[in-house]
Amino acid sequence: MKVLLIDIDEHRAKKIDAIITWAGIELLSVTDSDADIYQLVGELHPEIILVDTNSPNRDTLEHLAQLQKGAPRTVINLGGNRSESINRLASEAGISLYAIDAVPTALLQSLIDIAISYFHSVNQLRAEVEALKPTTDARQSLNKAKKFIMDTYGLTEDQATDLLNKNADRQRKPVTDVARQLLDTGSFI
Amino acid sequence: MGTINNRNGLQLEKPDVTLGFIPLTDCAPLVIAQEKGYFAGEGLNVTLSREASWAGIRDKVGLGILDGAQMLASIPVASRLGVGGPKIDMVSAMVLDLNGNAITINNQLYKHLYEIDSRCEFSPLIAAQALQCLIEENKRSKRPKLRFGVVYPCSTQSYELRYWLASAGIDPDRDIEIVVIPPPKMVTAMTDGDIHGFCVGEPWNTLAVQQQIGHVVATKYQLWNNSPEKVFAVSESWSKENPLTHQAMLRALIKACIWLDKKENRRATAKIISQAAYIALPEETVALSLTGSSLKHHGLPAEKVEDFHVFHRYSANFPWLNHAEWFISQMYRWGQLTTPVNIEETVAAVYKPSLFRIAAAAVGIECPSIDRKTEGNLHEKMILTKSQHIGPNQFLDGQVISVGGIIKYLEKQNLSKADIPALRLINTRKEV
Repeated sequence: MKVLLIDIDEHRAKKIDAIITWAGIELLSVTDSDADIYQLVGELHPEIILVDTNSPNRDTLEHLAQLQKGAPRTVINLGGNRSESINRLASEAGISLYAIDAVPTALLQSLIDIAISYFHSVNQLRAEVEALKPTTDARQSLNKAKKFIMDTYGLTEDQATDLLNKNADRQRKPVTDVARQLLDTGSFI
Repeated sequence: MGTINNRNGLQLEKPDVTLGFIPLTDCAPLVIAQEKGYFAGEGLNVTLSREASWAGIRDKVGLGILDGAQMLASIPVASRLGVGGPKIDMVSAMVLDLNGNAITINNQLYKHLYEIDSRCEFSPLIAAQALQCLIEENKRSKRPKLRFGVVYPCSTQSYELRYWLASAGIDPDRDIEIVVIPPPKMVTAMTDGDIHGFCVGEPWNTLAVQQQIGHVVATKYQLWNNSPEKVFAVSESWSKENPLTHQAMLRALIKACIWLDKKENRRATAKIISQAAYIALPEETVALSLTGSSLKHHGLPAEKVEDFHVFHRYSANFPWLNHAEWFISQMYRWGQLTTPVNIEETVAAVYKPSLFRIAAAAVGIECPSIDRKTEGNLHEKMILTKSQHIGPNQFLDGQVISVGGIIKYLEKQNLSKADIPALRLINTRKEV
C-alpha cells in the first residue's frame, strides 16, 4: 500500500509518517504546492492520497479522478454513511483523504481513527502545556529571585523566601511580580 | 447566542455562520454583504473564509465545516449527481452573478491565429476556426497537443471552453489537453509555458493581458449572453435545519447584489474586494472589468461591455431551472455523466426558485413567476435599453433552447457523447 502526501507541512508529515510506518504502509513523497500533480500521481500510482484540506491542488486531484477510473478519489463517506471521523480529520487535522475504490473501508477507517487520535492527543498535550505555562513561568522567576537574594546577600533559602513575602506584603503586589521586578531591576523598589 | 431577527421577530436558528469564498471578482456579493452590513442587518454574524479550491468548498459545505459558500453554478448540480466527485446533496436558492469569465491564450498562440485570420481580434467564432486550422497543422507535423487550463472539471469555465472549441469542431478530449489549475495559479502557469490558454473568471484574464502574456479571444458574455456564473449554495440538510437563517442570508445577499449592480458603486467595490483579505491584487486590475471595461489585447484600448459583470439586473439572482438543465446537458455531451437521469426532477431538487421568491418578496423586489425560460432567442438589439428584468440570452452558435427542449438541443450538439434514446426513455415529459 502506497500513500502520497501533498501540501502537508513537515510538522504534520512527521506525525503521519510515524502512523503510517507503524501500520506497515509505504510513505511515498511529501510535495509542495508547485509540484506537477498530474505527473506525480501518474508515475507513483498511490492507493491513498492525504492532502491539506486547504490545498489549491485539490481541484487537480478531482480532475485526475475523473480522467482515470483507477485514480484515487475523494472519500467523504465510509461504506455509504456520512462519516463523523472524516469531518474531524478535515476540521481538526486539516487533512482530506483520497483513495482508490479497492482500499477496504475498514482500513481507511482505522487509518483515520489513528490519525485523529494522534493529532488529538498531541494537540491536547500542547494545549495543556500552554495552559500550564503561566504557572511554570511564575515558579521559575520565584526560584531565580530566591537564588539572586541568596547569592547577593548570603542568606538561606527560608530567609530569602521570607524577604520576598514581606516585600510583596508591603508593596501590596503578588510575590511573583516582586520577584520579576527584582530580577529586572536588581532591587526591591 | 440567539439573536433576534429584527424583520419579523423570529429567532434565527444559527446566527453565527461561516461562509466560504474563492478570491475572484465575483466573490463581491458575499464581501459586500459583509462589509456594507447587510448580513449584520439581518441579525447574522458572518465569518468569511477564503478557500483555495472548489473541491475544498464543496466538501466543507458537505461536511458542515462551512455553513454555505459561493460556488460555480454547475457544482451543486454535479454534486447531486456525483459527477466529478462525491455525491453531496446541495441546494442553491440564488445566483450571485452572470458572465465574468473569459478565454485567454498566450501571445505565441494568438500570433499564430492572427496570422491565419486577423479577425480573431474581435470574433470568438473565427478565433476558434483559426485554432482548428492550427490544430490540424500540428497533427500533420506531429507536434504535441496544446494545453488549456480550467479551474475545476465540472466548472462553468470547462463547459465554456469546450463550447467554444466545439463551435469549430475541435474535440476538447482528443484534439487538445485540458488540465485543472486553481485560479490564482493560472497566470503563472501561462507565464511558465505550462499551458497555452485558459478559461477563468476575472480578474485573472485582465491580469494576463496587463502583464502582456496573453490575449482574450472570447468572453463568457460572447459565448452565452448573461449565463449564470456563481451561486450561493448550502447543503440540503443545513437548509432544512436552518430555514430562517437561510432566508436571512438570501435577503442580505440580494441587497448586496442590488447595491453592486449600481454603476456608481463599482469603483468602491474594486477598492474593497482587491484588499489583501479578499483578492489581494492591485485595485486597477480588479476595477477594469467591474467598471465595464473588457481588456482583450495589450496595446489596444479596452472595449466597453457594460454587462461584463451582472449582479442583479436581468433577474440575475433568480435560480432558473433551465440553467441547471443546461449544465446537465453539457455533462452528458462530454461524457462526464453516462447514467440516464430524470433531468427535470434533478434540477428541481437542486435549484430552489421557491426559496428565492420568499426572500425576494421580503426584500420587496419583483421576480419571475415561471421557473424556466427559453434561451438563445433574445439578441442584444431586441432588448429595450431601459429593461432591467430581461436581458439578451444568445449563444455563440445561435442555437435556441425552448422550455422542455433540453434533450432536443443536446441531440443537435456536435461531438456529443450523450445517449439520446436512453435519455428520452427516462425523460418522458412531452418535448416541445
